[in-house]
Amino acid sequence: MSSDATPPPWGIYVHTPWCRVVCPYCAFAVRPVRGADWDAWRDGVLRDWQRLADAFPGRASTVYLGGGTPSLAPPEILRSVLAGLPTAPDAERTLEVDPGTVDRDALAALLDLGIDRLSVGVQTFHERHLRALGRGHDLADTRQLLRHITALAPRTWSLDLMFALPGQTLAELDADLDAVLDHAPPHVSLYGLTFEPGTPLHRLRDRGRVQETDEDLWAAMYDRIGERLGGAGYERYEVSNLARPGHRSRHNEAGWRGACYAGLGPAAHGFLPPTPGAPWGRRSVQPAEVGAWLRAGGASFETPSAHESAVDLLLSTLRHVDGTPLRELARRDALPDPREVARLVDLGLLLDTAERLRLTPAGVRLADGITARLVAAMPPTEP
Amino acid sequence: MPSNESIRNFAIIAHIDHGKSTLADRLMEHTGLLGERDKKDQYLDRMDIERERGITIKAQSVELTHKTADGRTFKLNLIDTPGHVDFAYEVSRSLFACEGVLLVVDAAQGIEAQTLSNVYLALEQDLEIIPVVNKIDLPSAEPYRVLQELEDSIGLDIDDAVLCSAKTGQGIDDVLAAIVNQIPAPKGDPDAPLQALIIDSWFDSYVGVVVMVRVVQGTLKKGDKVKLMATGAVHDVTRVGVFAPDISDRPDLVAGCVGFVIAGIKTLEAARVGDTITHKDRGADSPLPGFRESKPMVFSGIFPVDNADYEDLRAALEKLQLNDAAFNYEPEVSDALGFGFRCGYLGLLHMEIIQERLEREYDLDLLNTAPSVVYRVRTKAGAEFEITSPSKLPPIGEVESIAEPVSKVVLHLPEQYVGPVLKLCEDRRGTQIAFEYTGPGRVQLTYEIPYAEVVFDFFDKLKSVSRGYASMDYEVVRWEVSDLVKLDILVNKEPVDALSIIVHRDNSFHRGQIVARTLKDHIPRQMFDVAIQAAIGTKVIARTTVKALRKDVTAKCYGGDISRKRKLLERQKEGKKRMKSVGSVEIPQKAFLAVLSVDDG
Repeated sequence: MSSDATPPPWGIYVHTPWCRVVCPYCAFAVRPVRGADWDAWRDGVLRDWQRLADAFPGRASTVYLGGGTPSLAPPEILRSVLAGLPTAPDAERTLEVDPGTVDRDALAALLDLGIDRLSVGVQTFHERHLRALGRGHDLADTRQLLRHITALAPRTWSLDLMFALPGQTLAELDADLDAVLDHAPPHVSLYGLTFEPGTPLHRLRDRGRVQETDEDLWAAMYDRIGERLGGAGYERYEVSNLARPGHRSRHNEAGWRGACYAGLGPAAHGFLPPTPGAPWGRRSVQPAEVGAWLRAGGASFETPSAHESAVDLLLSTLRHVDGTPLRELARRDALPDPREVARLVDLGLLLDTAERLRLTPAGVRLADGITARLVAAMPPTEP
Repeated sequence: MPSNESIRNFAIIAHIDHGKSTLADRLMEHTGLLGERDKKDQYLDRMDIERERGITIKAQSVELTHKTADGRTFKLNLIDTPGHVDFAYEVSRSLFACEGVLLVVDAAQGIEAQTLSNVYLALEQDLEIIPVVNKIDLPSAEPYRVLQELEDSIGLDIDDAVLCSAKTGQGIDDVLAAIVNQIPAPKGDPDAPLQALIIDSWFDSYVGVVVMVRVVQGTLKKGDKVKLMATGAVHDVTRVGVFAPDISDRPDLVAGCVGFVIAGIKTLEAARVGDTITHKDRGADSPLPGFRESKPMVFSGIFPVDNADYEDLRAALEKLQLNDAAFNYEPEVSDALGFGFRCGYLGLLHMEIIQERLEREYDLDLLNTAPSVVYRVRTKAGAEFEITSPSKLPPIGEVESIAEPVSKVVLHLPEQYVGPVLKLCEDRRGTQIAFEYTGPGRVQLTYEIPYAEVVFDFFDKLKSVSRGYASMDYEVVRWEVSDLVKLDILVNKEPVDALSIIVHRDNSFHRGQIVARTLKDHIPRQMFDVAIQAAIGTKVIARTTVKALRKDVTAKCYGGDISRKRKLLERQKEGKKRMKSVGSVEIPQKAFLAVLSVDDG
């Protein structure tokens, strides 16, 4: 499909359901790779796209292969997936890569497919914590992969860093940050460990076997990361993402700003452009169970109301450094009560410019609570 | 038409759980009134809540027809009575309708303080008392020890006592024989001018007000024109009858009978308990003495958790009051809790029952403030008035004195618990009046304790320090000026009026500390520091701070799944409805509840 007017940019997210091992903290739709059927997965992803294609005009500006561990997929499988998806020539193509899943040649082959951005699941530079997290790699794997990346030099790459690990000290975090700065990734994604219901880690905590990091240490760690990476030229452009100039994740950033994306693969979420019957777009989600998805697929759809759309917008934009455009809330009749806004401004948590609501540095640490207060301060909706 | 000679009016006095309702059921079965198919434990207790707590609140009556072995037929009117001290007023009304009582005592546990006070009420009215030792089937039963205790403590003639097991039916015929042979027939002349005393009245949505009467003199017939002597209002009697056990019409009620009258009366106020009914023509010259009025002694605020429920709450209170004249309420506005009602109760149990009925029968989520007693305030300007809420107390500078009700508390307990019980009484500002042995190993303690201290979880504490073996009875006997102060709770400098209490100055510091600490534990960390203070006037006596949240954010990528996050937020928004905002501080309902049920230990 195409039209004369320039269509708004949109992206594609492809979910890979398989990992070497399932990490004990992970609540994503992931299965051990032993049972992987990559041919079927490829067919399923392309089938998903065929069913959604009519909703998306032109070509995708970004493609994101996430998971799961997409770097476990044979390169020829990824090649046919990428070939079957309409992407602009200058599109950002991100692949999540885990240490220990690719050697230098395999990585080179992946980059030859047009992958120009790698998101590397380093998590921590401490062997003890890697083991406790149940990751499928060790530190030697990490160092080797980072060496290959330096040598092969993709256009850009991101390092995933976890913190607030059970028993982690501030000194250990500092050591991790030293290592991060040594490798100088253009982008860092943070993950402050959460205990998700249904995960083994959650059960261990409930049994008192591991301890969740207390609030004060968590805050100290989060601030420390901001200070040290900030001092090295990284900008925190989203609650859990920092980048050097020009290296933000285009795919994620578009999503946070409310852009549309197609969600392909099991459990993948998507956001479809507005139609006359769905003025605020449509949310899609693919079947979460791999077997059901492989057999038949078939996304389910949700049409957000103006209010729901406003809540979604606030949820994703307020976490971004640019904040929430008030005009967009106004379009949805969802401007929060100015008294609540004023209260949050008085508390030094929010900046209220004429056009946008933005979190202050102190507000970033309380983003969830502030969002909840702003949502509660939106005009009531009809039941 | 039965003559007086074949009527026996009696009540059952028993402590909770000593088997009164089970005995009543058994009597109904043995007289053929309650067949197997009707069997539902504790038939008399019509309300679910009573059945659950095993207690009886509203007086009820049932007419039993009993044929003796020698072929005579008797009408036995069983007048049910509440077992709890809060309802002593209803007990004395019920006893007025009787010539005798069955004093039911648990063969394993012996007599309890509350039972004794009801026995004294019966003795005051000169009723025949038949001791019935129940539960003799229990392995731990000691019927003869219990009988000895009855003789020692009350001086009852135990030769006429009956041993039974209401559970197995053993001895029930002996109980029936004792009722017929020992309780006198009612006096009264069926041909005299009518005097019928209103013992109880309640509202029935089908027939209007149902009045329960004891006909003292004369005869009351269907179709009579009757006059309520207090107001002079005249009504046509449309139905008279008895409960057998359901409503059962009769042509008339003669002197000595207990039964119901329906006469097109629209409101309960028009059929006041204690009033006398007579005929419009050839009426009695004077009314019967009536009863002393029951006066609410305990007050608390009731607020809907969701302000939108206010009208539902009002409607529910109206309905409850229809059948409970002892309960009253008036609108109250709280800065912290919004619109609600100040409610007056006879006592603590009465309060709990009302609150539970509101939540259960009317499905309302409520916040109940701490119970308060009535205080008598004298101002420096010379004014004197009673207050039922701490918020009504004038500024402390204007107050000359505050007097509080003092209750006489009688406690019965095994002697091994004397130590902790004495300590409890002393801790509650009690003054010992008497210390007596009522039997081997059994002690009766008499204390004067400020009623406010009794109201404040004294009973729970007593049960806990005596492992449930102590029983108590209390009545307010006098008023006493005391060094009382109003303790205010401030959250970020804003007073939370619903948490104010009146306390003795000596206890105020301790109490302030506990309340501040409890609030701190129950107010979640917010986006700013929350200062909690307890103050008397402008003097802060306790303070604590809920430190600001340092972290309330998820630092990870959502993987596009925003709908789950949105739903979580919507749920939080719902949860906020259960929060009360004081200034900008959100206080969860459970914080109020925790403070109100705070353990003073």
